[in-house]
Amino acid sequence: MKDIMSIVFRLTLTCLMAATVMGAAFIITNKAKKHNEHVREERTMYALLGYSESKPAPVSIVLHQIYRYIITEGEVQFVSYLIPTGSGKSGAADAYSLVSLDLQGKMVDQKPVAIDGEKIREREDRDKAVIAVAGPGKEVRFADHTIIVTDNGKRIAYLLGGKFPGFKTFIGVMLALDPQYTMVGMEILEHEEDPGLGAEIEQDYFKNQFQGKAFTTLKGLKVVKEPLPADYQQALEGGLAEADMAKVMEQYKEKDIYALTGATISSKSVTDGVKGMVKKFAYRLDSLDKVLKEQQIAVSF
Amino acid sequence: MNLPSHRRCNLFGRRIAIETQAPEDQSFSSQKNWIVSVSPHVKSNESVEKIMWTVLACLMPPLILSVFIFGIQTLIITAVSVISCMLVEAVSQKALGRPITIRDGSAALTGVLIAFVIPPGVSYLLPVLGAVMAIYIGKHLLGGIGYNIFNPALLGRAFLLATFPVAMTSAWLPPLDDLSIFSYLGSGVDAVTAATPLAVMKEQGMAAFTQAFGSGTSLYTSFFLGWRPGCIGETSGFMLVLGGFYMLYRGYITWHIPASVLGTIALLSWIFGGEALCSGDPLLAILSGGAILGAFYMANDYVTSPTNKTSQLIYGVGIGGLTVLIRLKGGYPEGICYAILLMNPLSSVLDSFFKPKRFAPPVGGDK
Amino acid sequence: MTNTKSIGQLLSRGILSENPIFKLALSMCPAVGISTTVMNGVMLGVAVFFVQVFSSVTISLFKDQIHPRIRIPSYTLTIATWVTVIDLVLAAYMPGAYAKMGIFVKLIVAFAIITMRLEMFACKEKVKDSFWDGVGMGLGFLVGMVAIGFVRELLGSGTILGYDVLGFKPLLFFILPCAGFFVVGLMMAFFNWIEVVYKQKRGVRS
Repeated sequence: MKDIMSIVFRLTLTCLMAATVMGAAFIITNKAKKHNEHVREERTMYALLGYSESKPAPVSIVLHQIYRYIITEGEVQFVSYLIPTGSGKSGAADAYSLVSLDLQGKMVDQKPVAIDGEKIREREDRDKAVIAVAGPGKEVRFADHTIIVTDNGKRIAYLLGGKFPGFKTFIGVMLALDPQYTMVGMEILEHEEDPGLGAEIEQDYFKNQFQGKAFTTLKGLKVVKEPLPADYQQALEGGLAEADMAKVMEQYKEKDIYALTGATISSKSVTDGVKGMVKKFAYRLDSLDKVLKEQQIAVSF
Repeated sequence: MNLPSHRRCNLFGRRIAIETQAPEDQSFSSQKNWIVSVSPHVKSNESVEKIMWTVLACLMPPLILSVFIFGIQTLIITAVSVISCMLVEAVSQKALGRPITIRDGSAALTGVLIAFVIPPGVSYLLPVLGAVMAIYIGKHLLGGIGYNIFNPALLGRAFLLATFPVAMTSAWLPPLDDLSIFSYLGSGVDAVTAATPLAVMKEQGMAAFTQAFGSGTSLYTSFFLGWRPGCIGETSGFMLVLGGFYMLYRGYITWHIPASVLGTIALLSWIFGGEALCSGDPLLAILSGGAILGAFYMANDYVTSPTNKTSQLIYGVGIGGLTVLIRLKGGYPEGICYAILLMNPLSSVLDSFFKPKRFAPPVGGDK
Repeated sequence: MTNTKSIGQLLSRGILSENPIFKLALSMCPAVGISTTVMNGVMLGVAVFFVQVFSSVTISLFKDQIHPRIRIPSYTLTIATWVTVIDLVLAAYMPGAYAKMGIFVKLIVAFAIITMRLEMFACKEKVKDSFWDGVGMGLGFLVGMVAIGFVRELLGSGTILGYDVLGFKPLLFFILPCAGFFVVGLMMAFFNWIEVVYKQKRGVRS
């Protein structure tokens, strides 16, 4: 009995000590960790828009975050968008609303959400706020996150993140579109394709093929098993002068995607994945815009 | 039999018996051929040497035909492969302090088989690397002939496929229809590539397949004779079957493994290969990949296949099943290489599971 | 092991005669999984080094307080604590490295080599000796990882530490996961062979 007491006491003490050390480390490092994650995310976003550290984005450029939620109540499903409705001048809009649409694209309701610009980036805080607004008895599921980029209040681009199945596991990408849904760029964020084969999807000569594809081209985009033309490859890898490059890119603008040698399945899944993402996004944004206009909801983008 | 002791083999045993010659002094001096070896003691007129060279001879017709299908460079690739296999064998046996046995033909056979399972348009460096992998690591580091767990030639191919995925999955050549066997030599190889029937079927579907290769009897005939893109030695079902039947006739192999491999592939392809159940094309499934080469020459390797009849049948069914699974659901168009490699280590397990009945009671009596 | 040993002996044992990877064959999964480049090897090696040293010292400090019946839970808690701390620190101050190896750092909790050193050495020995033993074992692991990473990076991508050495990619096979086992096995054989040759020579001389 005495033994058991001693074991319990010592184990508790060990746990408490471990918890103290870990807690202290967490408190000290947490801020820097979150900062790093945001910096990394934003760097990818700005890189897709064509800005870098040497060429910073002007102040007039603002990123508006839109979070899509699926809310289920019994048999009925809604698509809800958490959107910024503030003045939007400073980037971190101070007011947010949850706009719910039914599956036919009709407006259901709009409710203000009490959350600030810092907290909205944290998945847990955001989910909690949305659940509180949605009310009891509803199942709330986070779907995806898109960003509308404005320059002086005018939309210049959309950034959308997403995942789709690749050859082995899921491929995570971020796409940049212009207001006409023409592809501006693509970045592969995560994948587990075979090195040397499917992993080549992150190489410039593959992923840049999506650059400049118009929405109409994109809708019918296919993968062709043909060797990549030499001039196109040079242009894709940035090995040409700017004027030549634009000319070559223009020439191949309406061509299909050239498959990676030995990795047709990976090439096809990226192409189909991107195609699906853009098509769905265009449909959703159109219906959201329509509702916002009909209901005259003031939004910051 | 007047062969040196280390060359004598036990045809039906899983491993070649470890034999030692009795000391020549004392009372044995009059009889020089006393031999101590582990059981089973099967007397046979065959030797490793004889079997290996016969199998090699059986592989010559498909090799010669491949020259007329893909051009003269198939012969060069095979020669490079054979020479490097024999060199690697000699060097590794020397380094490991074992008797040098390159004359028994097993290294040469591995060399031909490596060449047979690589595409005809690859660089000559590939068979050399494949030989190092197959002979040094796959055979001698695992104990030498008789002790290797995996089929060395297929191990070489698996290594090459992992190392040069692009070359190994795209250096196919369209078959020649005139006798211009020199046309692919030199610069021509890079310019022309073709897709194998199985790859077309997997990636582009049946419609594209019919468009590319035709259909009906003419398709079966040309595939059976070997006029289709594929690995150097796998295309000509006719020549391979011919050699296979000769080996069957000589009793070097039994029908169990080839029949069960091909039967399973045909059956499963028929059931699951088509769009609806039971609408696949079993004949096409056998003729369009490396199934015949694998069933007759790879899966039957003495060292890496089971010896018991029941286990041979199960082994063959396993290979066939895995092949169809990889072909239909896996990432590669052809799966027989991996199927055989996966079943190889199971062969001794199968053998011990289906042990023949013991006729004598165990030592100490039956209790 | 109860006799006092010099620092040199403690260090050389970890690096050479009881090298965690090549001699003890412990913690093979990271050695196989992540060692595709020298840099990966260095990063994981350094992380393991710190966890090993901190855990050894901690256990050695508290060895009289640890109830013998709950040794293993105590070790696990200690290791988990230090792994978490290092994980947080890396995430906060070295985001580049963390992005690449974050998932592997969390795996250090399950590394057999660390628990084994705590059980075999740190729970019986003085703090100072445990520290040097931890340093030796950590360095041994680091050296092993770097050696494997070197071979695989050179043969697989033709580079060393990201610098193009060969100018082409020789054998893709070596950066695939299965080649990890290959390289570890072949290097193990190589080092054993060197040891045999060395001992034979020394034997002849003496």
